[in-house]
Amino acid sequence: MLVSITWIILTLGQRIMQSISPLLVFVWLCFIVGCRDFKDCRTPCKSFVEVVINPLSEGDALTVTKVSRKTPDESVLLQRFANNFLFELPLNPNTDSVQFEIYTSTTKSPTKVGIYYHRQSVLISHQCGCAYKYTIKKMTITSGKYKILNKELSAFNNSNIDIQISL
Amino acid sequence: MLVSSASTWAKMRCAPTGIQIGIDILCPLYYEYYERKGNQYEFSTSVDFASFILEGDYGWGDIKWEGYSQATSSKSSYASKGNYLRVGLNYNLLQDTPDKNLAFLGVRYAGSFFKDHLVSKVSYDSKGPVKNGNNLIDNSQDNVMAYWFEAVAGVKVKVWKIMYVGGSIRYKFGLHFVRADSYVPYDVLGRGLSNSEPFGLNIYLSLRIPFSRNTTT
Repeated sequence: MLVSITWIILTLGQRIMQSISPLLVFVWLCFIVGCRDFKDCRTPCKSFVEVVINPLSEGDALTVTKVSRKTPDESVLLQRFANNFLFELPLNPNTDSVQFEIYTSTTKSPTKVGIYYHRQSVLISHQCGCAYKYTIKKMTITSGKYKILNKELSAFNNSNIDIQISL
Repeated sequence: MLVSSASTWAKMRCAPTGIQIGIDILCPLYYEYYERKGNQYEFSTSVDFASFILEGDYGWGDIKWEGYSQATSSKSSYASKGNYLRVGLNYNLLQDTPDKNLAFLGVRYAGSFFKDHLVSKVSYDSKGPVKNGNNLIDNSQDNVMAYWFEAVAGVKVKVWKIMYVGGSIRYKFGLHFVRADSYVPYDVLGRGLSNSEPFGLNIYLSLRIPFSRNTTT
């Protein structure tokens, strides 16, 4: 009796599955097609440059007192670590360069730095709009040394630091 | 005498044994889906040298994308018009088949030459939505060139007399642009979306004209 009931339930279940499986596949396909409007707006394009300031020699002491940006004239938020200083500098899409001055405790006149860049627009998707892709072309510095670590500013770069300045 | 000479060269596996001229029947439907509009057509020509097949594709068309950005509450569009070319070599895995069917692996170098126009607004960067952004971009670029490589696998099967039907799957990589200074082209003719779509599919209907009756491969 129990075997017969189990057999009937299994047979009915099989029949139902056979008849509704095309419907399930259709519904599943509808979900997939519906998902096409959910766009991922994340982009790796960075609109700022990350700069680290180190002493010229490892043993030297360096104290950066202020980093000041020109046009617009404003101070930049400076992060201090064991023996280096880190800051982010937003780039202006309407110009091709950014100028800033680094003030240290050891020198009277500031070190003037210029970063020259190229900008391209990247359409992420029509739902998300565009992002700017910045590429560093060249740099100028009145004293010390510099090294461009990432020419293309992207969150996918191996190093977060884009420019290293040694004073 | 001429046929005999051609046959000797064919036996040495270095003379061309036939030419195939085909059209991609899937290509015109590619820009009839979702937000894409436009036309695209592609011809394919291949000359088989026994195991190796020299292949060249030529296509042309125009693309029109239109959408709406909820991030900027504005319309967004991209249009492009131009042509493209692919050249490469296939290796036929099927040897000495009477119908000259092909199952091949190959490589291509492709170039697309076009002009395009982008209208959109800047709304995102790596940290998320841009504050005080929404700069309008309404720019055109002329004489843009895009180059890339492809790894291809496919088949071509004889269906009737000299008529063949075949398909190929492509993996596209190494895309780079020349003269695209203002913005990165969104959709490249012959390639697809520049920030995605690394795979492609082509279905060809082609005619094969043999060069010699007595070729053995």
